[in-house]
Amino acid sequence: MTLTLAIETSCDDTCAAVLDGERVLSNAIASQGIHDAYGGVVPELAARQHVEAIGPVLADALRTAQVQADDIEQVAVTRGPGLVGSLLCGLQTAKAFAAPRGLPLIAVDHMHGHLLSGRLAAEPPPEDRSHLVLVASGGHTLLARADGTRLGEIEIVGRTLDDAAGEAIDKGARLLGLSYPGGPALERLAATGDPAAYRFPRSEKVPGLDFSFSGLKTALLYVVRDLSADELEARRADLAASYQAAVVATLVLRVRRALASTGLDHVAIGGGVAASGALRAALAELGCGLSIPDREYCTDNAAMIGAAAHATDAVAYPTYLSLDAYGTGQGPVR
Amino acid sequence: MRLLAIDTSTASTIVVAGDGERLAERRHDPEPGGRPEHTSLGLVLAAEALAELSLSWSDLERVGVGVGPGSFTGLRSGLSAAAGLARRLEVPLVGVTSPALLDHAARAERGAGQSVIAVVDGRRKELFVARLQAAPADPADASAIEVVARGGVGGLAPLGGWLAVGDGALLEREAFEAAGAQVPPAGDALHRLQASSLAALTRGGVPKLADTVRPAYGRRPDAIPTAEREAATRAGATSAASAGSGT
Ligand SMILES: [Zn+2]
Repeated sequence: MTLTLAIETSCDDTCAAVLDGERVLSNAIASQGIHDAYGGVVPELAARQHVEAIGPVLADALRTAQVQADDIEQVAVTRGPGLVGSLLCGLQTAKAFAAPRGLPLIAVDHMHGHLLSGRLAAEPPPEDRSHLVLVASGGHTLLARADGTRLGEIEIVGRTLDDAAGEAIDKGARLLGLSYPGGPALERLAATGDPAAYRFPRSEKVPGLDFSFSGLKTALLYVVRDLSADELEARRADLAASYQAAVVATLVLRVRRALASTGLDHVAIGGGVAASGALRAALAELGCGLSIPDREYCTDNAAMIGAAAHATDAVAYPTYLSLDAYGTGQGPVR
Repeated sequence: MRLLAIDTSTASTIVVAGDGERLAERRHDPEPGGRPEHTSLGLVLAAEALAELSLSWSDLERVGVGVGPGSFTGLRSGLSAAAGLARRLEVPLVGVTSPALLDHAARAERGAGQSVIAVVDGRRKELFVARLQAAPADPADASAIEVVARGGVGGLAPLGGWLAVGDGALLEREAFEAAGAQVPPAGDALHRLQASSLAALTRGGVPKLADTVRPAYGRRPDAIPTAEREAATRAGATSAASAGSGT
């Protein structure tokens, strides 16, 4: 099989992976953590960290995979969408790695990676049948129909009309006094609360397969505002559990509608929110086939970029030397 | 020594290759206000310069890179490419600051004894200034670079006998001249970063491991931690949050 080095630096994680065909030999990630004190990802800080972390992360990926740099046969890298200042660190690093031996380079769309994360699950989607993909993270929320693995074979059938699912979770967590990033903290707090204590909106009235989270966030804001400090403290776990349940229900409702309207019977997931236990549990009740990758393949990672590289045309040396990155909101998946 | 060096600290993309005898230079200077092409041209121009000398990437014995101060994004594009090559080829990387480049060109023309004040436009009404009575021992050393507010050049006086070079010197020509410094005419090449200096300082600079060379940003990021921001808000001050949500 082909040994691929994959690099991903689209946001605040510096990632490198080595794959043998589609088998992951290593999946190295340097999570920056520094952004927590700022309540969100600071682009300039993220880019500075990538410059410092990329060398050690590359070395880590090669060492863990037990391969030499000279063994690598092709290089895959995220070209966009994301923070351009961060992306170009990975892109220039990838070109410089590939050029000396004239290796082919595969410029991968970040969303393509998330859409194919399910291929890294213990039970990947069946090769010969179409399936649905749910991608939910801090930056993106979409539902797709996959008739194959190439971007031209994947159709986006639902997208968010306002916030991304992860954004809704972060904002809800902040209203409950939890620090950034909100997802894990909210999930911990929710574990001790009653998910049926409050009924938050699931935007059922939004027809079709599009998502909306703004009403949910506003509903939580009103509840929190009307509680005294003591009441809020006493009800925080219930609020967290109910809010998380509403985010999950909003996502699952569209998956259920899509299964019904398409007649498909298999769902793959990707994205940081997809790593949450509550979503996994809710999907398991749908009765369809599921491809649920490990958490490390759901959050931003380079292994998924390596997986998408197998469904993307390579660019020959030296043509790729002129590639530039593209930013948030750009690229083939919208 | 067979070398390749890249500088993307300004809007320009400057590349030079050397085979020990000849230099091959490439540069791209966008129109004023035009878009820099650091990422789309940096390695393209590098490949062209190597080809002109019939060198391949694997012939390189050393890589050099401009570390600024300058455009944050530009610095990272150039450093990522240069460090990536040095790492892959297992050769040393040499960092070169913009003031060291300006200083080298000035000294090459005016003599080694010339006192040089190298001035880089830092934007946001600031200048990055290095006062160099002799060529710096390590051209990557950014510790001598001072941040001077626009309009504050008078505080550097007296500068009698000093030669002020760089885009920042042109911005504050009157103030530098009033302080006694000589400023070459606007079109003079001494105000620009030059490929020949980049090659010379790559050859003569301090070789380091690729992963230890860092940009000389010259300035902290604008981000304000939430705790500080909230404290400032409580104190009645206005503050701009620059943090966004992740993607
Ligand atoms: Zn992502």
